[in-house]
Amino acid sequence: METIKKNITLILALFLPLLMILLIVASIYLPRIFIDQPQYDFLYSVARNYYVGGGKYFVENGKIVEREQRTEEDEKYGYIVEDSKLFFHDIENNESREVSFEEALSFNLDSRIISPDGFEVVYGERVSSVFFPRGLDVFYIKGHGLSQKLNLQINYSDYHGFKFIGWIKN
Amino acid sequence: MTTKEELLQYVKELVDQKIITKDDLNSVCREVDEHKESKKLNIANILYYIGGGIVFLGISILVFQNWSEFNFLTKVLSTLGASTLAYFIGLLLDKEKRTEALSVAFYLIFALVYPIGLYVVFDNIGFDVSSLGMQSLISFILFSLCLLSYFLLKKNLFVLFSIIFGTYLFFAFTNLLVDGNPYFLDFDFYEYRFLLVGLSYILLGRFFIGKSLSSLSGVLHGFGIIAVLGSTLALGGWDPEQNMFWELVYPFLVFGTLFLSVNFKSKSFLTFGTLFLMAYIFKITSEYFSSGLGWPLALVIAGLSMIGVGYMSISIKNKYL
Repeated sequence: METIKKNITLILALFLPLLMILLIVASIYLPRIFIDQPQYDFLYSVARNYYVGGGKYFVENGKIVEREQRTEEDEKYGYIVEDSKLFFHDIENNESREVSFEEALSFNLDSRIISPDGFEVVYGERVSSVFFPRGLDVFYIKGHGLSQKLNLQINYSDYHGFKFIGWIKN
Repeated sequence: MTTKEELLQYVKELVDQKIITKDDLNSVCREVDEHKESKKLNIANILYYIGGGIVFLGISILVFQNWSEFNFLTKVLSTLGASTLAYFIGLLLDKEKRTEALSVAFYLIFALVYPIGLYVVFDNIGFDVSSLGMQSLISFILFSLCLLSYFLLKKNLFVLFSIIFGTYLFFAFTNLLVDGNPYFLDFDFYEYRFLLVGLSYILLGRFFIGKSLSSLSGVLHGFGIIAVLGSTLALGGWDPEQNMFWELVYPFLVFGTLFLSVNFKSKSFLTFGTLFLMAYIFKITSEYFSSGLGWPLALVIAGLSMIGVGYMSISIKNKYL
């Protein structure tokens, strides 16, 4: 007891950073135990040319449609959509695979941002240097106090071209 | 001639009569320690440190200029090899009292060049050294080596580098844990980490007082209070996204710092407390009063307040420090 009292400033100095680490670990991993996991798979597209407003895949009456939506700026500067690819994300295994437009047509889609079970796909902030963030190029599924990193098929240079298309209901 | 026993008896009487207090005695001991430390840091020591720093610069420039020409072995030898050699030279010099002071220069070269060596080795093996996992691992190796070296060799320099690499480890590892998690983006994660690091530095600085590491107390108090006041000022935010809690708490923190500067007899607390109080006055004036009163009048008020703060700071320094 006397030793603790004598070294209380040292103990506190070492305890504070450790406490923060423990709190971070708890706030990340505890919700995974107590909160139900997201249930809905989703469809997204990645376009290499992200200048084109809105991309070329949309949802109408619960089905995917392909239509290039061009803004005045796209016309003015001649921007075109390059290599816009569709991906199916399996939420249970947290993995994506490319799908064709024909295959995507078979999905019944819900294009609302929040899924029926209350989750949304959001950008995370990738930190590569120790003190400063690099930018928004990772994706998370977030809701009910839970957030989990998504393993999407997006290269660092293409992350601006990400477009969430819809939750798969069937 | 007064004997030691007589002198101690006399001091005891003075303490009993409350003419001098326990704090006065601690203060005398602290001054003696600081005087001893400052005597140690003579011109020769400063030259050793500068020399060590220049060697580090030389090796860094050599490696970066010839990065593409050097093969793996040359890169490793010029960084990890050179720093390991410097460490062993330091060990040899440390053995003799005559050359002991010189050993610190070689330990400094080791502490500065070894991180480059680790980066070179891991990079060439094929690891992504910019990844947070690798940064955590490298900072952990550096932190452990410096801490172990301090316990073996009892050189204050290793404590300083343990703190530097420990801070690096803390930031790298917490970044690795969070890994862009959006919940932490809304949480002012950086500011809170700087706040905790600052508090830890101040506590470490307090702990070192009166011990062989007392020479580090001033540096730790200085950086600690900058981190605490800087992070809490940032936590206050800016209109219209200000955080009222931190904006209201901040003046208490700054005045608390000024009060503690007297209690701790810390000039860095007084200096940075004063500077951050000025920054706060300027921030609050421009945030809330510049539109109502207009900029010119707001500037006059801020200027007069700063003159008042400056006068108060000098008065505290002259009277108590």
